Amino acid sequence: MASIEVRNLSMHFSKFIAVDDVSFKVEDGEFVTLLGPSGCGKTTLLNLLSGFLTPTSGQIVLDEVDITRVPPELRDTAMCFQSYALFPHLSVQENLSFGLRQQGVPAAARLDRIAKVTDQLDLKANLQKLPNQLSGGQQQRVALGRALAVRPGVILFDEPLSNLDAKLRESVRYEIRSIQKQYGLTAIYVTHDQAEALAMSDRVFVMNGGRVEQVGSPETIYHQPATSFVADFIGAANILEAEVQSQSGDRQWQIETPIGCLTVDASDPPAANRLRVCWRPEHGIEGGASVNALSAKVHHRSFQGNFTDLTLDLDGTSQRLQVPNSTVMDGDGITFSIPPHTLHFLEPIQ
Amino acid sequence: MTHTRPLNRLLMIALLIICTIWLVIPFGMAVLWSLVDPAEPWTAERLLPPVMSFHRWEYMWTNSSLKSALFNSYTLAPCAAVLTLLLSIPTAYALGRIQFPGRETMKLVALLPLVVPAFVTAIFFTSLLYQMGLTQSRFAAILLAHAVITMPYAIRIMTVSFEQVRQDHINAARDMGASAVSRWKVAYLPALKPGILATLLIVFIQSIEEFAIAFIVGSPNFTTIPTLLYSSLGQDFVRPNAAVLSLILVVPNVVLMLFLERLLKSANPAMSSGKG
Repeated sequence: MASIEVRNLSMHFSKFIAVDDVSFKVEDGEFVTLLGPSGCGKTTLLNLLSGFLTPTSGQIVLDEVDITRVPPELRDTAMCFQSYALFPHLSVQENLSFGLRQQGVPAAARLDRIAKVTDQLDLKANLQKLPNQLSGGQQQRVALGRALAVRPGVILFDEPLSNLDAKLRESVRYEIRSIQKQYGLTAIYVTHDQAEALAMSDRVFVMNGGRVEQVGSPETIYHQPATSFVADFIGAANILEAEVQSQSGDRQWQIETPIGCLTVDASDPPAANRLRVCWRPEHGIEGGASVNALSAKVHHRSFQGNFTDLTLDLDGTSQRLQVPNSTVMDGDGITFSIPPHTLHFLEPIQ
Repeated sequence: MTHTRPLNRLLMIALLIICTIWLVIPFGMAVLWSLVDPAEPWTAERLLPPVMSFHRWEYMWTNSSLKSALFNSYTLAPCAAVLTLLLSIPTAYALGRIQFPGRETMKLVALLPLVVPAFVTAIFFTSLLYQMGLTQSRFAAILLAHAVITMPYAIRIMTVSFEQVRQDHINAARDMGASAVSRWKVAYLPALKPGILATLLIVFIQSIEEFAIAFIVGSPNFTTIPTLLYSSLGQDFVRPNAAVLSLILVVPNVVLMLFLERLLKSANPAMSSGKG
């Protein structure tokens, strides 16, 4: 297992900048997710790490060795492809042993390792089948097994679950994570699915426009988003433009927003006088309170089972509120409050 | 539905009639003509030849240059098939896998030789050979010429095949540490196989049936089945003999085509796409 570090990495495709001066380090045994919308540069970054692309500038360092210009066949990385990329004319067994053959692992050791991997991934019954005789989930396991069998220093995942149905995705997600922990693998996982990123990762790198916008644990990313992009991309968020009016005490600020004057209880001071703030729809509380009490009209109500999702209209500003067992209907008036500690300062307005 | 059914039937019947006129009648006639015994001519008022024997077959086998023509044709054709395939691969690789400006134009340019009639190519090719002093081996000259005229087909087929090779298979092989050779075996070859077989088949058939170049470059010493056939259609025209020759020309091709057709069918399309 290994640690991998990226220093000032940039990738330009003629005029388009896919990866823009990115630096980070992934520690040995860590599970890191690169999360972002399509076109944010996460897949390009993964291809740079695996060696299919050579960066315009910057360095990639694997276990203190510069591998920036080492071709993929000589890199100690293994990739799980989005398309699985199983060799269609080879049986599952041959697919699994392909990498080991390339490494010149002797036959006995090869069988031993494949037996371990097939045990783990429950592929024993399918060893002699061809990939197109397997279901999508089984193909996914073979792809994972093929990457695991070579025991790479770093395992790279390129949206491996995007071709699976929702139910299966959840179980495979759990499986990948437990195997990663068991093997102590260093893993870099690319996805655009925020639920996947939050559920699996030690750390999440949120990417936007070729840059890493925020790095942090899933909890940090969710509860303390650094920018409105992160707040909006991860979960649902109400983002407001605000102007700081006054400070009271160590961590209390009064701000003016389009929905009224609000009190914010934050550990970090605002970055500027004019800035954005956000709050999560599930943090609002239905009913009156002494601070940040607001009244609104219900524009749209949708029942979601364990909560009710309300789209509210506050004098022309739309906000979302998620409350358990609400009885309000479309067009009703509602009073709710936003607890001050759930309001969060974001980036300044330029 | 009720309207389309009679129409379908009608079309099927029309197709059968056309096939009969187009294929069965000429083929049947050739078989019958080849069996006409020289003792009794097949005259116009009879539906079938009055006496049938293999006399013409035996005669052609012993008294014409059929043996050497067969040998020439059947060594020339496989050599031409392999040579054309090998020569087409670099161009096809470039056209199928490398992005460069003017690629689509180049694909068209590669097909251009098809518009020049074979006779024109043959005459200029022969004069080129003489100018270069390359007249020692007629076999090699015809082989080269056949490779030139069948190249457009080969390039076209192989280009499409190279486009079918999936980049993620190549990447996966590289990622697993595969050398250039094993990358070729595991990612390229399975996807190229149908194209390779199709190219071999088409060039083989083109070469075996090609007359103009074989005639102009090869005559009078080097005979192939088509030059022999044309000569028996020419001044010393004997219809039963020509029938024997044309059947010899056609039968192995049909067999070969059926054989390769089976091979192509066994190359399951799901195999190259990788998804069930």
